[in-house]
Amino acid sequence: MKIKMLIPLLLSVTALSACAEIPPVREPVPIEQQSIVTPSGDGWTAAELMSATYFEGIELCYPLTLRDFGSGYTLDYSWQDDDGTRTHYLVDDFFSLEALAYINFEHNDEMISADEEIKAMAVYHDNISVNGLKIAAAEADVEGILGTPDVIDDLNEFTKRYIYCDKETGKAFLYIFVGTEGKKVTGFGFILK
Amino acid sequence: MTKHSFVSSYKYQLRRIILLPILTVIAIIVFMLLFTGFINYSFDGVFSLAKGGAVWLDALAGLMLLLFGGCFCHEFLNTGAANGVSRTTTVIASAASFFTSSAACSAFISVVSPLLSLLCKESADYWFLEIMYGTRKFFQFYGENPFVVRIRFFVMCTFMLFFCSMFGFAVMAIFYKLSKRCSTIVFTAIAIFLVFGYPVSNAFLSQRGIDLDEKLEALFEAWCRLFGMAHVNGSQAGNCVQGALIMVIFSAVFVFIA
Repeated sequence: MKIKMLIPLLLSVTALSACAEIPPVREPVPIEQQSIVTPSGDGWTAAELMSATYFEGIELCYPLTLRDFGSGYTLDYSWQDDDGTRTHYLVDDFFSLEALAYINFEHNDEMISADEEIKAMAVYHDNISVNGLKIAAAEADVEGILGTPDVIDDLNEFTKRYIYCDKETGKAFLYIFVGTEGKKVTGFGFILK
Repeated sequence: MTKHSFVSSYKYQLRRIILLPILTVIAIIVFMLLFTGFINYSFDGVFSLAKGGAVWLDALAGLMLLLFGGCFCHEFLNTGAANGVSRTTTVIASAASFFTSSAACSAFISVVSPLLSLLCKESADYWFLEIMYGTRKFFQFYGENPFVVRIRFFVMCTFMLFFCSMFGFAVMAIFYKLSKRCSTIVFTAIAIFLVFGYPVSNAFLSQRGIDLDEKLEALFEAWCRLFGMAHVNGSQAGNCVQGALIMVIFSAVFVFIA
């Protein structure tokens, strides 16, 4: 009787586990194998720069979805601004109190789909490389590695912004934040949609 | 083993442990409230354990069922022997009754956990199993129906509670056979091992160039892989089927030991 009860239960667990199409874990690309693109001089497209961007060693793409990070990452906590914009924390550890990246979607619902395009992403940790440019890189390296930005302005009295626009659409897609005091890169912001 | 003896034993045992699911959950909640109230000395603090959505009723229920499995072992075996029922029949009936109780306990947790989170004004209720096999949100991101996800964790919780109760039952069944003197010696040896085992072993092995922490970590990882847990292979999702199968196999082994 015990076996007769257990078999349908096990089968149901099997069936239930097959309902989600979970991607495999994406292995990080070693630093020496990460591609670096020489800036052409006439700017970047979002696709070109995203293909030279590595987050935790994983090559990003454009457009970007949660599925592209692989099953090693998930969205855990999220919070909503006063204007209703919801920001999700990208984590790799259930107990982590710190987000590896901050992600926004087109809508502000708590539940999202893994195949939904990411609207914006911000990274402030030393886990990203944009064509070889990393957090804490010197301000001079920004133009040396990525070329002349389309706009340089002040976000506030402590932070300067280097803004790169997509040469095809003309829309800003990459923000590089540089501290005015230490003159080092402090963060990256991607506007992907 | 006759059908009549099995069914009679099963019914008797089920009557004895019928309140187990309710008692387990109530005991856990009372413990949590008293513990956090004692720590925080304030009414707000009573609910602080639930902040962040961490209402791990399933883990504490597993611990309670492990204890209950051990507590009821001797009574079931004695009652079975007194009524002329073979030990095999009694143990198999115990497995069936504890499985039924585990399912009921799991169902009770499924209802109480989200209610407790709502009461504590938290939007999420997490199961301990979500740490082991992936969070419900993660599966829903990849298209799984929320109801199906909850059913999966209900089933996994049932198997986990059954595994815990059978472990407790098997441990106490071993002591059932031992004399009082042997039981005392074994209990004392276990207590000494639990307190002094690690520091003494660590000192002994480190003198011979063996890192015990590394070995324990490797052993822990191997166990996690065996149970198909998430995070061991870098993924947020565990293998629930493998986990359920291993729990059932180990439960069967415990039944055999008993």
